[in-house]
Amino acid sequence: MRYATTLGAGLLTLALTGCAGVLTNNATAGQSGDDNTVTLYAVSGPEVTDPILGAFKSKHPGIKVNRIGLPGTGEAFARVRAEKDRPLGDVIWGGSSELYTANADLIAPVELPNDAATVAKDPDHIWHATDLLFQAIAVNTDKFPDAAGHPKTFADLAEPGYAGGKVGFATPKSSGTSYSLLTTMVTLHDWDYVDRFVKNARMLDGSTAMFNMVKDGEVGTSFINEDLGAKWIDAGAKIKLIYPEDGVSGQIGSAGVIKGAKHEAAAKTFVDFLMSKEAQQIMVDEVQRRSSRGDVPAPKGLPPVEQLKRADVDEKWAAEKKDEILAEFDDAVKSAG
Amino acid sequence: MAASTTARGRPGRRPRSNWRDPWRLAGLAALLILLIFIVYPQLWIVRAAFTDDAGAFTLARFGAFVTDARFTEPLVHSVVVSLSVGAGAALVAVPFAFVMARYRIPGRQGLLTMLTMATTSPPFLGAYAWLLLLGSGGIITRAAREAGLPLPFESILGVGGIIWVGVWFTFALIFLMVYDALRAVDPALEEAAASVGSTPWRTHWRVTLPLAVPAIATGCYLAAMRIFADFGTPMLIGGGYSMLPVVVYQNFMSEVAASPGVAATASLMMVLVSGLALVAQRRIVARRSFAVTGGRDQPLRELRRGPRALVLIGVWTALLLGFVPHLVVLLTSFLRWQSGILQWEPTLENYRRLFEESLQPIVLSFVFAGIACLMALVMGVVVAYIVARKRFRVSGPLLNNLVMVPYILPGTVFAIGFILAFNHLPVILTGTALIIVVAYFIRRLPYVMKSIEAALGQVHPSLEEAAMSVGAPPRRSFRDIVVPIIRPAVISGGTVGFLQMITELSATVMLYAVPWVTMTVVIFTNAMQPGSPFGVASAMTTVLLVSVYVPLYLLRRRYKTVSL
Repeated sequence: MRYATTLGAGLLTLALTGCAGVLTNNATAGQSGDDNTVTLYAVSGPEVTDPILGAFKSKHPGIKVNRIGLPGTGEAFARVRAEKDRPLGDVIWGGSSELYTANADLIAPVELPNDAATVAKDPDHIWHATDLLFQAIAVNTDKFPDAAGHPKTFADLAEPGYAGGKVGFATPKSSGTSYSLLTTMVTLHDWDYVDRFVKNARMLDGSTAMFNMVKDGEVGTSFINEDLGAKWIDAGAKIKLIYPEDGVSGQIGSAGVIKGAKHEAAAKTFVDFLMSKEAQQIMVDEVQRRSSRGDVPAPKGLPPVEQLKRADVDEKWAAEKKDEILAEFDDAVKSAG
Repeated sequence: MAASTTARGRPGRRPRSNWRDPWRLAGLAALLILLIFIVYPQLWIVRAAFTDDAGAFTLARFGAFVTDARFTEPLVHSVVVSLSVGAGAALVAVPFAFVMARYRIPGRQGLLTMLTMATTSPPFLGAYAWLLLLGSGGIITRAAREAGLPLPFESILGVGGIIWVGVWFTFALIFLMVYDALRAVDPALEEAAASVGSTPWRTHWRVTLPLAVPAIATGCYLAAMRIFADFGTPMLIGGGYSMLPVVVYQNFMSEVAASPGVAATASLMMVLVSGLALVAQRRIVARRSFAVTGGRDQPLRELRRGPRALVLIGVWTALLLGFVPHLVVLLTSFLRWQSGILQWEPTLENYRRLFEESLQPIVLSFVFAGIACLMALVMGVVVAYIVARKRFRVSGPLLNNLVMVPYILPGTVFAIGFILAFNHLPVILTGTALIIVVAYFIRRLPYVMKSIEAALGQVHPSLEEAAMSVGAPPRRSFRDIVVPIIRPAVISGGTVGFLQMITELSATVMLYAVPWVTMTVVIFTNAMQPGSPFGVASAMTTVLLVSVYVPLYLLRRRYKTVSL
């Protein structure tokens, strides 16, 4: 029995410490109004956020950033939506602009000084461009060594008997990257193309799986975010990036100020800083992502944006007809068996 | 109302106001807690499942689960995989539990401690370990291919992989339950069987094994439900094999087109299936055979050398397989990772970076899980006692079913419910540390409660009735009869519960606010994207496991001297 008493006493002590901790938190942190903190909901990992947060800290030592990492844009907006009546976050950063537009009711439209300097601008000031992101076709060179057979275009991927085996493709219902690829396919070609492509595709649960499986050689071909692909090649992954010649899909990486944020002024300062030349230079040099500004060149390892033929996807169509597009894709998958 | 029904239901009993029974009040208090923290926060799921997109009442969503292949397929897959994992894990666990409970095995305390440790898998990175070994480009797969050895598979990805990983991460759970049960079996029963001429094997089959059935059933149930509710393994190892938790998760959290209605319906289907499984488990436990009448310990028998070597090889192989994720994480924490890709260069850099930052997460994790575990133990004993002993018509089954709901819901979905419920008056918990504590307590209560229930299933109520008949008040008979017998189960249930709490990830990530950063949050933050610094995550995982295992080892040693 003695050990139980000891254990109980120990846990009780822990309990009291914990309660004391909770109380002091509420007493000291201050509930509203102060502009010396920003609570950031970050969808990217520390490899993206930390260098820029470091620069922000030295530029604005008076503002403390509380970084809260969330698994994905879907989860981040789910949390913001659940907290809608009493927002606990101030800024959401990461994920592409369409997702911000789709959740516009959760975001405060604010006009920021650096908006004008970015190449992509939101007329409604919901999202603010922090980086540009394109997808390349990724080929695993171990699994698919014959360089002559490597695909050059989206069209190649839909050829009957495509030499690279199954093409990994995340289900566009859950992956924004995949949805963007799908709308690109439909724009460049048509739904017949999608029918043929799906026959060659291996459907995966999310974009992370789509990236990882080509790296790990589970599939011979897949799509990948170019910055990640370039970093992985640096790290020794046996993959090759191919920008499709018939058109490249891309997104605008974004940030936004959460509606009803407790620290709105600090939040605006922070988002504006993300678009500043200083932060964008770090984005290119250390994070190795493309800048959203015209005056910062592409990171080493990525081709200049002028060399890419960008697919001209009608964003309005992609946003408004989402349910129809996804349903049609479902049908294509079903009929492919 | 419940009281009067129960009173009428037992006409033979001497008239006594049910309200004087302290368990009645304790049960109502427990029910109240569950209503506040399980039913109220998760009501939104029910609402979403029964309304169509326009907001009107509908049953169509459930119809789709019978007709639409997009939903029937994951449903069938999930059930099949869960059953296979439960059966497979039991096949591994039960024989070992039997041998360990009966025979003198060298290093038994060490083995028991390690089996307890094996009930917890390193959060997040655990499932990735198997992929690193047996994936298409995995270490073992590649080595076998180069050596010209034929492998029965090209990659672990797929349904086989899910079952394989599931068996090794649940067998220890069944082992502990069955082991505790077998240790508690009164040796007099087996001696009696032997004295009337039963052979040892016949005794095992006809006497010992049936006595362990409640524990086996409960263990299988927990193992099957764990894989049934697990979202990470099919997502990582499934390679597109559709299962219900993935459907739920994707429909709730999709960045493109979230359909909470579909996800909510799928969640309710999961709760329904788990309810059916619970009925099955209850039926088996209810036909229970009581094993414990005295408190005499099982003597350990000697094993001949040949069988003993075999047993040892088997146990250690099972343990090794159970520890593959732990070992891989440990190894990779000392290797350099670049942009999420493992480089085979030894380094201490991961630990240096980890310790550069605050060590507060370690303390916080222990405080949160410690408080939550204490709450879960109290609540677990109350609920388990009521479920196993009291024939409360309404509150008994209600408690039993409600407790299990958080076991089924994906952590993220569970957390959304918490935010919706406790981000406004009258109770604001969001942003505080308390919400994490309460989430741990509620979410891991099933582990604690089920293992105590299994132990109680072995204690014949006649013992307590005997104590009461000689004038002991219920409190005294509980303290002197029940507590000593269920103590091992309380300890192992509490330990497993604590391990599950301190490694909880998915709900924590949705609920935490700075500065309440736990170890799992640090792990997650450093492994959340494909290019993240996994090395730091591996290092934090190693620190987490070591910091949990050391006290666990000490507890086991102490527990051995006191109770076994």
